[in-house]
Amino acid sequence: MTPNGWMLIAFYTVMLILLAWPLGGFFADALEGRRNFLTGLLGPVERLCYRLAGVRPEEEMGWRRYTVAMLAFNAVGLLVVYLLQRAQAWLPLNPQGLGPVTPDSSINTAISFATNTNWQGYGGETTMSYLTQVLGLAVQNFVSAASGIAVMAALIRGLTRRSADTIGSFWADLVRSTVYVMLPLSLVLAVVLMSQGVVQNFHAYKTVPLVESFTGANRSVVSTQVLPMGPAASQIAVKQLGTNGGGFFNVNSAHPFENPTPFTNFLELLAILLIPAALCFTFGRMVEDRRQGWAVLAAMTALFLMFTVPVVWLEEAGNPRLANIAGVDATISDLQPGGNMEGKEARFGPALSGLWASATTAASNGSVNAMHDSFTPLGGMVPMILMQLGEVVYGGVGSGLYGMLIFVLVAVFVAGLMVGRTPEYLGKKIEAFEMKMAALVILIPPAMVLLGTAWALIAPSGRATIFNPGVHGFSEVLYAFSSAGNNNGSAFAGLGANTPFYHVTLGIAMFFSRYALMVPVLAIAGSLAAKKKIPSGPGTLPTHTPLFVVLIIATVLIVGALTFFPALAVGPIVEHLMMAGVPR
Amino acid sequence: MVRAPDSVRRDAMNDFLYIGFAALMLAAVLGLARLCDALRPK
Repeated sequence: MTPNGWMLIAFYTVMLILLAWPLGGFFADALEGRRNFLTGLLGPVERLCYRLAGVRPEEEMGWRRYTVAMLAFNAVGLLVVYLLQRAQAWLPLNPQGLGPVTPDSSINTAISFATNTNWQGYGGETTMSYLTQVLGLAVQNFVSAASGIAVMAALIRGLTRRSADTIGSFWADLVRSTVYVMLPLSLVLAVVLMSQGVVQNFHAYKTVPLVESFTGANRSVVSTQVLPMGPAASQIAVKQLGTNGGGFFNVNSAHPFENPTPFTNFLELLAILLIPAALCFTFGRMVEDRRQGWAVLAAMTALFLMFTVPVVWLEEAGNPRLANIAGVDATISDLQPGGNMEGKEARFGPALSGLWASATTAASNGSVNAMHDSFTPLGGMVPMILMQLGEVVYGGVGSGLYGMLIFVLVAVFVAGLMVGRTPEYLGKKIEAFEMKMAALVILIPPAMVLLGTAWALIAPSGRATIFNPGVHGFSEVLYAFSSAGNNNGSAFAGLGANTPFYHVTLGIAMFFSRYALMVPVLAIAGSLAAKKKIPSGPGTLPTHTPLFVVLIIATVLIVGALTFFPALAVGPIVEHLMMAGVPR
Repeated sequence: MVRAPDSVRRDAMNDFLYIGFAALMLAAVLGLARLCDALRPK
């Protein structure tokens, strides 16, 4: 790996933690309704939200009520996004006169954005009106992220409260995380992005003359180009911060109007993991033991580096088969990025593309600045694994931390079994009910991924749009369901997923992987909140030590590896062996 | 009486089907919540 690659990863990781630290503390104050430096400015906005919705923020909820409120809110959001797409042709802010989105694509997109997945079966600039982008998709970018944070806050309260019937108010958690964190951060980032050249307007698309005309496929001379416009900056800011990832334009963050400069590339990269990393510090503050937050962050960071270094190295190394072709020079030099450049922006090269691929799949973000389909086989496998681990390596906003805390409970339980003591975490006994719920949380995404992949490979309508035959085609389908079944949203591309079959099957995977997971997490929160706190004694397993960090990492890796290794073996691993020239 | 074109009627039927399907999935998740509650030791 080049020194550039090493320095990039090191600088990124250090910057991430330095920025996440203060934000995490601020987030804890905001979520708990404590006074913070934005209270004077945004307190009236928070109170206005409650007044308009007729909500009393101090009214606490039990886990069942909390669940119903969360589901009802998300169901309304889903319906609104669906109807906006279907009616956009007759609504304002549609200067291109785009027609209604088809019903199957609409339901897929509505589920996708409500579940914070942001899988896109459509191309933004050719499908969505500005009103749909702003009122439907951007709004969901905020509130789906806030829903994840709310569930995470409820789980933390379950760990901290003693003999309590309630786990907080969903409405208060939703409003506070949106008003105090998501909105201000998005506003600042959007303005910076605009200063760098990201578009933000409601103009019709512009036709401009080309610097040099060329002859098209049908021998006609092409001398103009259509430039898409739109309110992109505001949506891109929240798409990165809220780990949403749905691009305003079809090629997502590879588009120069979404990601115009190296500075925006780095800022957007930081924004992808900023809030998920900050929430580890929030967790430490809320449980009043910052070491616990550091332990979870250490496990996440170690896993992140464990996968990021190989993907950058593999993409910089490139495809060895090309080295044997006369005239192909893939060496890295001052004059060219080198390495594996297929499907990558010349502006970014393999190191920045590899780091982005790792960050976007470690978080449940899914925005891309390079086409993952064109990565080397093992380089493409890394993003796939990061998703298959359950999106807990920083993970989605809120969902990453609650997913990781479920793995922590499993690790505590396994450690308890090994030493013959009753497992406990932060003074709460971990018993059979919590383990049953944790098993549900861990098993639902793999079921969605593996069953969905199998369904697509069996069904003729699933096979019909696999354009790459053989193992790469299999990898594309596995990637699509890994993405939807873990609420990531990135695409390997290459697979024709804009069909009713994939809209419906991926929609099912996204829906259950989000909501059927949140239910057992909230059930665990309710169960833990009702328990007494046991004072720690000499037999208590310390959960802030390096040994416990290793135990968390092992739990995450073993569950992930055991579940998905057979599928990976017949996809990217076989493809790598073929590329390396291993005889069949 | 003016009859709606076939494509409009087909899309309206699809709207009904897809929204109904989403409602069914939501009902399944609510059912899971009841199941989780039933599993909880009282």
